[in-house]
Amino acid sequence: MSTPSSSVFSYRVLKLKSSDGEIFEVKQTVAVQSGVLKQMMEDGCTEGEIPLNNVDSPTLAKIIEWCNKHHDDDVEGRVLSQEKEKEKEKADMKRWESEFIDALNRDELYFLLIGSNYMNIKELLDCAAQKVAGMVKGKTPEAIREMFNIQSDFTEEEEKAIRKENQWAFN
Amino acid sequence: MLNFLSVVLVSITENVELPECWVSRLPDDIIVNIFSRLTLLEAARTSVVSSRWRYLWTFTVNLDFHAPKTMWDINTKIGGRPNESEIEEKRSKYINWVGKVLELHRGRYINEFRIHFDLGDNQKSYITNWIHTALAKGVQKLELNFDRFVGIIWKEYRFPVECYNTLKSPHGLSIIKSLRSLSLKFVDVNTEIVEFFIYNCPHLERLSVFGSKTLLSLKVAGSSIQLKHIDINCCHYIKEVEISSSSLLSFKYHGPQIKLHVQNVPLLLDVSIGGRHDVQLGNLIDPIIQYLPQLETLELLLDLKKDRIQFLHFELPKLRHLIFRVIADAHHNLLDLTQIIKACPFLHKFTLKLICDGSKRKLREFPKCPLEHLKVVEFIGFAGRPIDLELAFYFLENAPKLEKMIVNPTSPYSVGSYFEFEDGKSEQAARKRVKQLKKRVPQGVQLVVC
Repeated sequence: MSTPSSSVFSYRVLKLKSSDGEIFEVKQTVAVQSGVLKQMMEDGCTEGEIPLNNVDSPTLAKIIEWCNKHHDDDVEGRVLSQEKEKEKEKADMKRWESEFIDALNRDELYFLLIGSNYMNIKELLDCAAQKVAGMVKGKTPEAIREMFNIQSDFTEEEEKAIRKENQWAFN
Repeated sequence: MLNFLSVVLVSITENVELPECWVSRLPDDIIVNIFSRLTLLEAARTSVVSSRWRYLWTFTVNLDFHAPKTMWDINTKIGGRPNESEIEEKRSKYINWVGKVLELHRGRYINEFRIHFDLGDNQKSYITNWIHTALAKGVQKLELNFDRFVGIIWKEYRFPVECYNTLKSPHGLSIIKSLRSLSLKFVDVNTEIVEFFIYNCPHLERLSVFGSKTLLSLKVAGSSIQLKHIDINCCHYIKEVEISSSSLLSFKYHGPQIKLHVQNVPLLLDVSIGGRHDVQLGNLIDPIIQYLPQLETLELLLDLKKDRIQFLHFELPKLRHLIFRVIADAHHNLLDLTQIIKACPFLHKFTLKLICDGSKRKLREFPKCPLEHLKVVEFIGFAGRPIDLELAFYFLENAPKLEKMIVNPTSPYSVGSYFEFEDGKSEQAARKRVKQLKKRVPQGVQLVVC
């Protein structure tokens, strides 16, 4: 399937520089999962080191681990094979993803959310957001405050008024 | 000077040491992403957590107005005796809820918009407004489900004509372009309107029409069509369906006998098919039989009182998942269906969705037939009676690589619906009968009881 030009594209490498100065080499076919890097490739400005000022090296290592797991070498046949393989591999991938996310501590999860948002890696951001949503699910506002260590800055009257406004949610 | 510096230093250190919450430090768009994964009720409850969160939930991109508990409460309370005034009260409560949330919603964009309640022509002005609001915010996934309460007199639930008329205008045509998924359940929508969406929504990938009395035919053909999933279910007056779509991945049809023309579907992988009580399943399969060898998933709806299916000189070499949804009496023999299983040499997963009275009788002998690739077997509506036990034993004996047997006594009718709140007597009895199965499950096979 691959034409000469597409195989050149596949093996070219980007040099990503984390906020703490570490360099990570990533294949273009892997990096393309990041909306920001994809745009840079299309604009032809990926020469040299690409500074990622919002992503430290432990987070970038995690992000690259994720992208390596999710990438598909065959760029040309990508759409077709994705459709065909989707069902088969979905279950395995889901398991890998939840293990990947569950293994993170809260700090790592926080930096991964920030990093994947900054690099515009939708699937990773969604997966991490789903993890936090799971933590919030089924909890009362009081329990959410306690879990995330949030101080309420409402007076009693204000809180009462908001509860009244959204009464349907508090019954 | 020194004093000033030390004051600055102290305040910086204090800032760093504040027990700041990590979630609160996230930017708004990430918090909105998180809240969009909660139900509307859960999301709205976050409004009282802190002033920072006061309005963040109103940017949620998923507006799923699903009230399964209310549906269930009313259905059990009314018990087949419609009480119009109570229903009207619930309806207006629901309408107020949707209206209130849409009024509060500040996001510029909606991904999913879902209405699921007993509504109809009397509420058409509200419904039209809601559809417009959702479309104007670029909704991708639109579902209208006018599910009825049990025992209500059958009424018309038409797709609002006013709504269709405005969608045909240039402005209307421009706002439906973002639709990727359209699902209309218990909505009388005719051929013209369904085809209007198909041919005017360039990104429409998923179409589902359930229980429309006015859908008489459907034609899906043309190179510009991106439809990947078509599901036509219980449209009792439909006569003809024509499909020619090189992007089609899955096709589901359940209903009356129709003229079915299917061609140019090279990517079709997933088919689910079943006939109404007066239709022989074989007659529905015939027009698509040439595509069966390319399928990876096949679901057959079998009513054993009428359907006899065999794939004697036929192989489905690519099939990985076979699903039987079976309506049967206790005397019926599910082992007859193993003929079809035999035609799928690379089967990976088998699912039985069983609806039967499941009374007692003697166990039958089951045939020997090696199922080399089978890893997962699933029984939904497990009765624990000879009718399904003998099939379970057949798999345990014949599938050497079986890893998992999943047993769920909940009826297939209830799974995924608000009837899941019910835990009936037959279900409890079936749970007790699982132990008969336990005795026969060999080591290395995981038995999962749901």
